Amino acid sequence: MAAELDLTGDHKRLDDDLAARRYFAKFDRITRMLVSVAGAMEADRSLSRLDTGVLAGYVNAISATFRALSLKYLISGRIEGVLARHLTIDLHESGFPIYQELARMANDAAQSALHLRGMAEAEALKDEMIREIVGARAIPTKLQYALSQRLYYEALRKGGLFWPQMHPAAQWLADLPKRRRSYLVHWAVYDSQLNVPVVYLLELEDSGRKALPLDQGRWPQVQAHLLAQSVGGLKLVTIAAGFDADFDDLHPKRLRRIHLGPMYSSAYTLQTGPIRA
Amino acid sequence: MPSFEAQIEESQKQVAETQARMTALTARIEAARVKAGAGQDITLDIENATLADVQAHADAMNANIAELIMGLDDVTAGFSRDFDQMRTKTGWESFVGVFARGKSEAMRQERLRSASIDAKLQDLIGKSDVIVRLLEGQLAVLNEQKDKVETNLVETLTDREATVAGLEAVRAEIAALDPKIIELENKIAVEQDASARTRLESELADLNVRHNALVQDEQVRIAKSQTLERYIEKGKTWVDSLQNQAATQMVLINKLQTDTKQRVVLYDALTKSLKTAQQQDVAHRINEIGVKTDQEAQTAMAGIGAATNQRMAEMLEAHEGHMVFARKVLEQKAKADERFARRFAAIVEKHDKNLYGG
Repeated sequence: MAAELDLTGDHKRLDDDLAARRYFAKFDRITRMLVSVAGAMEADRSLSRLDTGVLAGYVNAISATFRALSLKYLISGRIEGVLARHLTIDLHESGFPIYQELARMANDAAQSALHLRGMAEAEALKDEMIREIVGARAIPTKLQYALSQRLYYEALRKGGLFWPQMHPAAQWLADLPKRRRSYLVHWAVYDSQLNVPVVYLLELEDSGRKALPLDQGRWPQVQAHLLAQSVGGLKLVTIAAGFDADFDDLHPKRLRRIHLGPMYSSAYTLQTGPIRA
Repeated sequence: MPSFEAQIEESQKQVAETQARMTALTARIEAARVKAGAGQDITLDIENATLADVQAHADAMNANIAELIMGLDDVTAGFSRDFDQMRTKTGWESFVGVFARGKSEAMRQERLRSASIDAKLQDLIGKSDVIVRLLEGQLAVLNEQKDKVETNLVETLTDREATVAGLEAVRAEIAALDPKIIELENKIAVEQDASARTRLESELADLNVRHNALVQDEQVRIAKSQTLERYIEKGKTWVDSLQNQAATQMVLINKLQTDTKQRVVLYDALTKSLKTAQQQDVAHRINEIGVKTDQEAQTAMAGIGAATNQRMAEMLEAHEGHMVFARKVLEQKAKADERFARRFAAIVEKHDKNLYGG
């Protein structure tokens, strides 16, 4: 074994501006395909209509996230010196940006109001740009950067993005005999080791007195438990069994884990072994 | 140890003050240039003391920021506590264990299942970002100041060249006058005719006046050249100092970014390997990993070093198949660490002694 090892060896910075743009364009195409893939799976009956709807929600969130990230990094590579920023992706068996990118985006979002308050309006920036192009005959890189950041923070404020954690939501499915109700609980995490968004779909029966999503005694705890157990290394049966053991009146019936990736591309990623579904 | 927020605030204050001082000094250097251009004395305007003062202040600020970065270790010490809690039983669990062993273990497993460090990771990334922004702001100011002073210096150098050229010209003129004066004096010495003599004498007087004026001009030009030279010297010192400070900022940014990246991956991987232990159904396994994790995390924090990553990686590899390890970035980290240690040896030492003495 080598004397020195690194934990971020599979991280790759997209230093080239054009490469980064192409990466985002490619990503946009792929995420658009994903919706139709889900449609095809629905036709194959491997997913229900409800599942497809839920998945489409997450896929849209992912593409919104990538649009936001593409704005963030649109110009930042051209800024000189250490202020230059580049997108870091996981090139091994993922092709997605690394977890830290999403975490950083979440931190940015928390401060977006502050940034937007201090920034010039998009129209004003464009106006200034024209003045610099016509007046000084120069490429207004700094203004372009300011505008890209402005649009990035606006996208963050608009919301609908995929965060490192997407908290569980419950959807009522049916009322069952013996005062049981069944729900579809779905949530998603951005797996920090695989660097791939992972959606979990859990069908469960609830024998509690109060409806689960309305029960303040159980629901927050259920949410925290499920998120804490969303670890790629855990088998589904481990997660379900643990959930069953920890909540007396909730009975998991079916748990599915859907990886929305990885993205393979000969230009950006490395992979070994067979292509995984 | 003051809280992170208080330290950040303190550093922000210091950065603002340093920036104000630097801008003031640059402004003063600029003002002095006008004076130097006019040949006036500038020694009072930029004396060494001012430069040293600003320098000392910048050093203090950097030390504070370095401490802030080291302080992130204390933020990460929270991770270590989490790992410890995951592997050991709480008081109540041990108490229950006296009566029912299985129940006690089940309780601990339940706690492990609901444990999560995502919020802490987010916090670490956020804090590190705050410091990076602070440093970048400072770096931008440094570069801006440096550019200003450099343009200034270029202008001054041209000025000085012109002055020196002028001086040379005056000297040449003086040198050309000397033989003429000697010749006239000789002529006067041998001239018998009174009127011719008077004419020669007034000619000599004219030449002497011109000579004196030229010598005076030479003096002024010499003084101006010297002032400009002194100005250039000071300017160069200031540019050097700014350059040096910018290098320091870059080292700090580099160190912080590499460290945070590594840490996030590390702590995340450690927690997840602890969690996957639950499905191996062997209680002692959790403990074994836990102890190792804890030790390694401690060493990693104390050493801010890269060497320990290897052992962690070995441990992780036994557990997780999908992590790829390569040398390149680690070498970068080693370099960043080394540069950091070189610049902030005193702080590293102090920090190690105070906080990890045990």
